[in-house]
Amino acid sequence: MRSVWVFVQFFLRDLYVESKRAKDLFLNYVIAYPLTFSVQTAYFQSNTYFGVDPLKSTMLYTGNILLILMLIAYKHMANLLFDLESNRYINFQITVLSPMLVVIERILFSSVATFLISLPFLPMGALFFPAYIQLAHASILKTIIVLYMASLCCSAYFMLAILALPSINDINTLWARVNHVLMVFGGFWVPWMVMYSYSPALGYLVCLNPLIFITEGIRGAIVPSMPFIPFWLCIAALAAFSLLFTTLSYWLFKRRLDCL
Amino acid sequence: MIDWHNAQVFWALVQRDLIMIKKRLSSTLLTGVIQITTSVVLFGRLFPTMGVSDQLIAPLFIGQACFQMFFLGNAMGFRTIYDIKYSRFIDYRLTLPLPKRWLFGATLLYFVIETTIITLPLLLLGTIFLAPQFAGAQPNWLIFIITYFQVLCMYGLMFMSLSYYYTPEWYMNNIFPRRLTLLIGISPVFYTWFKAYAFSPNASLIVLASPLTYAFEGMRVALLGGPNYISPLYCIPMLALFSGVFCALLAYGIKKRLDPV
Repeated sequence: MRSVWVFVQFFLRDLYVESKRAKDLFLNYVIAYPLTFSVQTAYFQSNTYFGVDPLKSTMLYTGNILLILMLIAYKHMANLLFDLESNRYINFQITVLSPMLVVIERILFSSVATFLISLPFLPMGALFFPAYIQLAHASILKTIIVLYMASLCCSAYFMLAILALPSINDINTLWARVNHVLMVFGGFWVPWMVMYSYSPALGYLVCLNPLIFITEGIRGAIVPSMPFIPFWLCIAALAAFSLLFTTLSYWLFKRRLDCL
Repeated sequence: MIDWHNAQVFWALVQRDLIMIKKRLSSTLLTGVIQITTSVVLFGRLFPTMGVSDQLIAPLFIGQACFQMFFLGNAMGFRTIYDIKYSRFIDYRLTLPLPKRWLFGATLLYFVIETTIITLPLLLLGTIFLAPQFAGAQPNWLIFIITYFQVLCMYGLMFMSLSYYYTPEWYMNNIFPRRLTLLIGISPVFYTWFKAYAFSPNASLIVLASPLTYAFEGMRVALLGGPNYISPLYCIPMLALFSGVFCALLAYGIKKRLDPV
């Protein structure tokens, strides 16, 4: 019971810290990112590639949410890496809560925050460019479910990645070597069906990439008339990847911090 | 007239940086190879399958390569911020018997050399892998060399100036959404300016306000030639102009961040 109470206190503390950045988060994730991504992707990129086609504009813009989710989840988890190299507040946390619960609290908090911050991205894009980004056929319930699962998966992934990084200096390498490749083959631009039709082997290979289930799930919920990986398969895959990353994170966390 | 004492210290700094580059070479080259391979598969294979015109592939690849240089600049910006906030190696460098102009010149030169080593061979390698898409290209190598180094200098000055101008906290939280994404959002990294102009003449004028437009289009016209890109007669002076603006911003930022008097 005491552990639950401490867990809730840590969660509330993180929420309080996050609330102090509310103005910046609003400007960055509700105004700046949706505006610039919709201009770049839905307006210029889509129209120069395919001509005026709102379905394809919406499909391209929807893929951009991957970067937003990755950036927000990374920001939350990067704090842990900075903490490990400076104040080591984490040392205090593991004295009052079991390492497993500390890992779960961090992932859970990051997933909730990432979900709430990324939620306005799609509607804001549609607000800026209603002729090109159309959400009329979107399923709100499916979008919310897949967005939360995507936030959870990204948070668990970054927890694992940050714990695996030797130092802050390796952050750029993580983005350039791993995240860039995961995003390109995770449907940031190109849906799974295109990869599969280019090469079935590539299509099956990218199923090992958790990010493909994020973009396919969200696209399937937003643009149901186009062929994507089935929604519930995406949810199941995201849940499985989240569990895997959390388990591996716990193992690495113990190795890195728990001397017993 | 060159002050030989300054030149000697400057050369020592450059030599030290070259040793650093040599130590990190295999790692940075590996990163470059991964990124170029990804770009070749994405633009050369998957984009045409998605229905993107074959004529757009070569300019898109060049845009992506130029974008990679931009991200190397971004990495340098974060290294500078990390140094200002945590390691403060800059304090030692400021004690060297060298004027600040030379000192930051050495940093810029380091960025140009390192980025050239990483991106130039891979850019040329990419054009070989995408040979069918580059078949009609008419490269002008002199303009390419001028534009390439202008782009690198502009990126270097841009990221150095931004990292000194803003506080480390603001830079880490807001530089990407509030400044860089805006610049990227209105620049033709994944399309060409003339295509945007054909689609929307008014909106494409906004694209001309971004310094990155001249970087991407300048590289495209130098490597591909032809009338489909903004002429180097506009790109080269505009890159020089924006470099001058960032230079002034850097001078102000250095005074603001490092000069306690």
